[in-house]
Amino acid sequence: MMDKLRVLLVDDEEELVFTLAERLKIRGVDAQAVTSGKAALEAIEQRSFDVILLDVKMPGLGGLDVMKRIKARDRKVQVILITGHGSAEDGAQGMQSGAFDYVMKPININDLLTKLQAAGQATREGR
Amino acid sequence: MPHRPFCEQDLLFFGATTASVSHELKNVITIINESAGLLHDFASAAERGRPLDPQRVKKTSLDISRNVERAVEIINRLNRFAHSADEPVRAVDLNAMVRDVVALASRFAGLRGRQIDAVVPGSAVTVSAYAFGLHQVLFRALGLAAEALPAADPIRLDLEPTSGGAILRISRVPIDLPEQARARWGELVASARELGVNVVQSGEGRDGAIGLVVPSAAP
Repeated sequence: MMDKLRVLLVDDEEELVFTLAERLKIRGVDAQAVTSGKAALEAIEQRSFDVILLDVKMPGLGGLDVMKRIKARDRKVQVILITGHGSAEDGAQGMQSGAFDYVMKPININDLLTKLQAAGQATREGR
Repeated sequence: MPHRPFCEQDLLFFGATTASVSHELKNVITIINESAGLLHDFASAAERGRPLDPQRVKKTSLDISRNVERAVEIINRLNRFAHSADEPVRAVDLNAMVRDVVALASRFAGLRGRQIDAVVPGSAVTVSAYAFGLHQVLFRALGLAAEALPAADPIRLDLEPTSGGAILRISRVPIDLPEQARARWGELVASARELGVNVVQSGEGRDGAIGLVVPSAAP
């Protein structure tokens, strides 16, 4: 039996990130939520994840900086970016910087789950 | 207070403001979306025989109500900003304007890990002014303070009524401005002068302040 998908959610909007984590847990995902880039880097020191779901725009350490540092520590983990901008350009730019995929706010949970599963598989196959 | 045609800087400010507000609004809508989805998840689980927790349902529905209020506040703020350009001179409630500009500037400041603390008097302070221009001048002044203060220091803004109008005072800004702030100083003084607002420095050394002296009525 396959282990649960382990996802770290990172967004400075506390209500959003904890509600989203709860919805993913209901769907059988091992989801952990943090509200800053700094907390994300601390979390990946404590345990490994299959996918990092990361907001692009955060105070202090922004999403793309966090992604760079995560990838420096664990090259194989896949990152999905959350973008709040109206156009898909931010997401496309993020993918050029190394993200596996992106989702736009407001988030479609089924779309997100499909992308998380794909990213998680890519991480596990890469390890 | 003199009025002038809209210029490129005005458009840039308008664009930056509406982009920031739309981003903030989208975040709130996203939270509402997730909370509504969570309620749906609870109902689906109940249909499959899982007991419904009334407290969780209540909490989630209250979260939705609270975020709807938050969205309304953001939209009202945007509406006030949009209408600030309606007339060259009108009565401006400086208390409300400070709250609106600080809310806007706080988003930008927050992205750099910085906070803005604003203190307004209990009673309304009104002047007759070009509201859009004043918004912009105050926003520029806060941007300059962000460049001048050491990283992570909070920015302190006080609105003080005077016999001739009001002073918007930003404290703890060094008298000797760092290089990146000096370029902004010239732009701030020029744009303020167009509105009849004087920009003054006071205090000594690192304990200086920038004051925007706003007259009570347009000249």
